[in-house]
Amino acid sequence: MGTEIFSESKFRKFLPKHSKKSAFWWVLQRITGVMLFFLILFHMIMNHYLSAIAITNADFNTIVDTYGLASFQAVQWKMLNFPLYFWISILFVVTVVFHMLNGFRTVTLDLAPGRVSKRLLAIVLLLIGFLLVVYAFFLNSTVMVA
Amino acid sequence: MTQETTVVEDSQLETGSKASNFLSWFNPFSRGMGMYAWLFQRITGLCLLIYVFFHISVISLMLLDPFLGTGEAGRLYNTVVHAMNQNLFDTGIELLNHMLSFGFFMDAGVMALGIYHGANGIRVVLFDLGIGIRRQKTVFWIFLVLGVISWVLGLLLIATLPGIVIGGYIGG
Repeated sequence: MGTEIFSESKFRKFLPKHSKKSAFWWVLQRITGVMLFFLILFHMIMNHYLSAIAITNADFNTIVDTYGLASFQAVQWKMLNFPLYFWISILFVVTVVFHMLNGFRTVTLDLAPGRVSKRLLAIVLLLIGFLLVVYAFFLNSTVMVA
Repeated sequence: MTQETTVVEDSQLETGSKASNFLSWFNPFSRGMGMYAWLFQRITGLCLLIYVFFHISVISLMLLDPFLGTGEAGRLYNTVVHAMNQNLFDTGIELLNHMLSFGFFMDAGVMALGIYHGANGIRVVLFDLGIGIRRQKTVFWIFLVLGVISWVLGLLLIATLPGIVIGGYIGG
């Protein structure tokens, strides 16, 4: 899929020489990998630096820790004060889920599975990924409203 | 009739990984650095896969109070997080106490896994683009040293930064 499009361009370097169909997933694995580098950086800054600001700025009724993992109130404060935070979180979840499930698929490909089990595993992983993304959407929106 | 060609990579020649040399399979030094880089990439990847499910299940505690409608939102989650933030034993030094909690250990572990996986991943992408392919080992060690430095800096930031920010706000 798509080898013809890239044949003349610089992106040719991204494609393996002896593969045509599976290169698509491999390229996506690379792209999501590079995306994750920046998304994880954002995630860490949000969760460790900005949760500290959240604790100092917001007036919480409950006692929250001033260091370590973010409290419920800090997470909610971030979500309500940064409108893009929700959508970046969803993008993050989609990217992570794709990268980890496709990575798991590549690990199983080294066991040389048959055509049926390969297809079956792909369907199961796709289903798990879809459910995880839907669940993350539900979780994020519930925390924001609660 | 198809023409068969035997492709011997430089790395294979370098490591001498032949099936006939059976005993060398069990010699950890008979394999090159690239094989261990790949092996650790795979192991850290699988560990991070497990961690993501653990992370999601802990985060899911946020749902429980709003979902059940039992009083204050996020009370159960805060209780668990507070327990994870507690120092395991008192050393008398505040910075060390922050570092000796279950949450900090988890963060330290997942940061080590993530930094290795990310650094090696970038290295592999660079090789596919043809950058530094003749200096694989040097690039690997440079990335590993940079990774260790960023890990130590990250751990110090996690342990001290909230204190710095809050101290600044209260002081000013």
